[in-house]
Amino acid sequence: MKNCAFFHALRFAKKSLLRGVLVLWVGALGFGCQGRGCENRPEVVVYTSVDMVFSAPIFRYCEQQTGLRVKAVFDTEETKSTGVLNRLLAESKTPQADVFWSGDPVRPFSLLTRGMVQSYHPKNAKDIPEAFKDGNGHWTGFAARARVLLLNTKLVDPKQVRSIEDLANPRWKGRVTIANPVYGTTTMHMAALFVHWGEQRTRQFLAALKQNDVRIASSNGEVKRLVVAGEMAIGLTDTDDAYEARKASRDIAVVYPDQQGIGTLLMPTTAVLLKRSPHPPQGRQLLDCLLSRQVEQQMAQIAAHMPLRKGIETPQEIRQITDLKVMQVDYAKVSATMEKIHPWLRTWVGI
Amino acid sequence: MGRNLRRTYHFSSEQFISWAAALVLLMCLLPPFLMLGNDLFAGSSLPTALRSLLLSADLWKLFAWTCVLSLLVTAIASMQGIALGVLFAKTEFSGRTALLWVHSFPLFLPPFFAALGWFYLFGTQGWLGNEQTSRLLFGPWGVVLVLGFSFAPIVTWMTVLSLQNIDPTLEEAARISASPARVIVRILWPIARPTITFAAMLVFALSFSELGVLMFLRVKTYPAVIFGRLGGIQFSPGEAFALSLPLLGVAALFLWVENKLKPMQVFHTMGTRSFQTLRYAWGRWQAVVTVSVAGVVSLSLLPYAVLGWRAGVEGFWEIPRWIGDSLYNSLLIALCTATWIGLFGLVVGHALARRNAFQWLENLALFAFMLPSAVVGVGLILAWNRPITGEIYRGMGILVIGLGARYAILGIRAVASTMQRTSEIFEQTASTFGSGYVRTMLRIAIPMHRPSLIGIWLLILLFCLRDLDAVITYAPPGWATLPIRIFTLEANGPEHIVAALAFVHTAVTAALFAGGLFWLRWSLK
Amino acid sequence: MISDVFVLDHISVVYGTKTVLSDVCLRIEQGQIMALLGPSGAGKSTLLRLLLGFQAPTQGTLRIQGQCAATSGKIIIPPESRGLSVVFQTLALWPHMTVWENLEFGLISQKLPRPARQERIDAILQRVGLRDLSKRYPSMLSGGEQQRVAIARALVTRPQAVLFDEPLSHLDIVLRQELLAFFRELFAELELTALYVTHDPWEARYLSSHIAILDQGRLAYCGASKALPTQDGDSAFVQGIMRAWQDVG
Repeated sequence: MKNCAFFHALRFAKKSLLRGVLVLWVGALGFGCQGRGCENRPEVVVYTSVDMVFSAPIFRYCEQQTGLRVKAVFDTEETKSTGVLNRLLAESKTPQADVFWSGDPVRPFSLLTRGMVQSYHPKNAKDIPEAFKDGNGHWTGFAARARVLLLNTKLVDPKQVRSIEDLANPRWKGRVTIANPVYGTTTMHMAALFVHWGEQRTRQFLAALKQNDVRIASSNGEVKRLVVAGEMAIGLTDTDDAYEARKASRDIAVVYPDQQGIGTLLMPTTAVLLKRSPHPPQGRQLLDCLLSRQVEQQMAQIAAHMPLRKGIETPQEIRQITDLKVMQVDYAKVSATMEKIHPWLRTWVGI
Repeated sequence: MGRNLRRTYHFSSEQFISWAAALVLLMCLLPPFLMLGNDLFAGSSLPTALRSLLLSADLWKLFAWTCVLSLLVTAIASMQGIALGVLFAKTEFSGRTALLWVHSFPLFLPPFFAALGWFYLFGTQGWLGNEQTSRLLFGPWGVVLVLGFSFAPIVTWMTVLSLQNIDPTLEEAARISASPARVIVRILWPIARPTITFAAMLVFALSFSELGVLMFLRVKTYPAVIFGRLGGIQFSPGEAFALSLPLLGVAALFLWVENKLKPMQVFHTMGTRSFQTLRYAWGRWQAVVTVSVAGVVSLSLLPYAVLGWRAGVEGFWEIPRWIGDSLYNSLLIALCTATWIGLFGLVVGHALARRNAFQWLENLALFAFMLPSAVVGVGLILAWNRPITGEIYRGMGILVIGLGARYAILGIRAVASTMQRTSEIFEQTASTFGSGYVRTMLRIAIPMHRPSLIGIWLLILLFCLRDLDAVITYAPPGWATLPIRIFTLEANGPEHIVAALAFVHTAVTAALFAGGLFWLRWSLK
Repeated sequence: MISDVFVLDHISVVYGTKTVLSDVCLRIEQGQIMALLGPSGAGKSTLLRLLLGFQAPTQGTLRIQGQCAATSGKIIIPPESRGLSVVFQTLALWPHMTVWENLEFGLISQKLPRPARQERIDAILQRVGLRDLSKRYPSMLSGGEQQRVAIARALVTRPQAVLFDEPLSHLDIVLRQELLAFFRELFAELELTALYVTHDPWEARYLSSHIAILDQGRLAYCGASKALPTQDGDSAFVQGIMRAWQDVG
């Protein structure tokens, strides 16, 4: 037996190479045991496209409330809303996630149409308006963002820009920026326009936008950066980025577009429970927590999201949805349109 | 006297090599193969994708643009690396060894940390920044400078090693009738050129596949488009696979050039130090040279120092809130992967050195290295997300496998070149004395090459620790590494926290790097 | 009782289109010291590798102690199970092991208990006169001492046969003569079976009882070393060896 591989491996461990490796291993394991791994709490897995900086504190809150250990996968900014969604699709044969918390209300429809969503009516969601939740319990919206125009007041007078259509105005040629419409909330915005205006008008608008030398930024965060830096005069972005931009510079104005027209596009974050998930009861527990009034309050405070419920206080910069003219869209239709127009959008962007 | 023929059972080398080869195959080939298979079964999008790729002028333009960008990075890294390499290898000045090691350090950090550091310095709201500096940074020149500085140590090291391994008699013969400068240009440079060319190609390959810096500095490149295809609303693995085919063309070109260079002993001389290297003294210029080299080295370290500065007390104070398990994950995954690659790299690399076999396996590992990490990532999901392999997929296993596929080439190549430096006669003698494969490896081959193997293990460890691109697509819940966490937080997270986390990663890498060097020195004693 | 240690039966080794060994038939009996002579490229090293088990014959069969060790394209008994020892030209002393560890290595393979190992190593070190140097590393020894360690390592396992691959070729004349005398003494004392590869007829004549001459992969001569008849068909090298043989005789 002394000649077997294991015996030799042990003998060899006396030498410096393995001894060194072993010391590091033991060190790493010991260090890790202090952090985690030694605890025995039930787990729940959530994939989210809500910014980590906002969602992580919410998960910590839910861990405290439920006693669960929340294991999260976050999206990167560049693939926002679609990276984890595609991971969910790639994993569809053997789902690994219990809950998907989407940064917008349309991506979950990609899962819904593929039969990947389980019906559940969260007990805390009763006071959420019916327009923002599915009657069959497939999805529930809360803490919303809106698509807004970000203006650098050094370069443009806020009174001169009131509508999304102003972006195609030759007056602002080469001074407008939007995020890549292949990803993120910009895709949804374009799809909503396709639904609301119809195909022809939206294509005309986008062609005019292109003619106007619109700058395609890699993300909404980049749009914010460009406008704050004064590199661009006008940007189309989300309210949370606009809120950050206002904090970063006094020369920033936020315009909720088309208040006299089609209204501003509202995008509640949406939580869904996934079918064949590894921990269904814990998934339901997490959904209950996410859809609680306290979480929506926190999202308003830390993430500048607009509460859908009445009576939740918001920071001064954040408007209540009751004060807004909201674009009336069917999210399911927007989702279907999004998949349909995606190849065309890619051609429009030029990739 | 007479020892009888023995019939004891030994694990044969063939058994080990076959297992190791099967593992490399499983790791490197299965994901793209399954991705292709999955696409074919699901009504293939591949032919359409190939057609649209061939017809898309924009995509080819982007491909050409990425090539140009990578060539510029290679040029910057080569200029800096060759100049410093010649200075470090062939001249004598104060602090030479220390500066060489410090200069190497940025190679082991995610390049987007450097981009982050420069951003805090030269971004619009940076300490030295204005709109012009910001525009320069967030553009191709920013990418070229950040990546050029990050990858320069590869060229420096290859230059140093190749120059130090040249038989000094060749140089001495030339020195009789020529000045040091002429000897370097006419004798040393032509001999070292194949190795340096190889280093330049490596830089080209690394910059071509880089994602983090490109995304951060908002420069659109071909691999970023592939990443986007898998991140876009239309999840299309077949299309992403089709798009990666031109990259495989680049890999094939890489192999072809490398094979052309091989007869000139590209890698095989790496690390040999059997000669006393001839070094030229700078005389009264010594102080100037030391200060100049220190200046260049400091410049490459500056962005990392800026991270610490930007973090401030507030940033470091908040680290426990944001770091979670990510540092532990990073360390554990890097340790496991380095050991894992070390094990099969040892078997395959040894076979490659001793039998000149498994060239195809090495080529395959190179292809896996060149394949866009997002494509490999989705392939890994398809391959391993099954009920039977659930434990691997949900835990660290998938990360070890994924990183194993990406960095297998490092382990195999480095072990092969190390083993090629010594005669196999030592191992043959051991076999004659009744030692089987395992024992010969454990008692002869490994101890004889111990310092080099420690170095290889450390190199893989540090590369795994810095990796972002390979793991971001499929890191299981709860297993995000520190670079992933920083990259995820970077977009909208508070700057001081992002900077603090990046600084922690830098400090941990520095500690491991210093510890590794200490261990190497101790081992050499 | 089998008296043949090695039997090479019509052995050929071909690399691609190059025939390195061609139809070699050779026997080495127990207690025989056979010198293998040949010019560079004659196939001496290939023959040695074949006997050691690092090379399979393309054709023919190799028997060791009556057992088939290798046959056409196949190694049946691997090197570690052949019960042989070797002294290479470069000695191949493991630089990371002390003299003692170098010697102990083969004994551990034989699973000898520690006291027995100790006894054997002590005895052989005593015999080669290196008892005091057992804790030194090879790099701390002189050339002659390294040679002695190599031979001690080869003998300590009590092998069926010891194979020598030009072990003295790079030594100076004084050390070489001293070691040759030492080798002869040892061979006689231990009744070794050995194959001694060399290109020096004097060395071969001094040490061996039998001689084999390889030329261009063919066995040009094999027999007792006392008389070497020249034949008309012999190559210039073989005739040169024969003449040198007569001269040193």
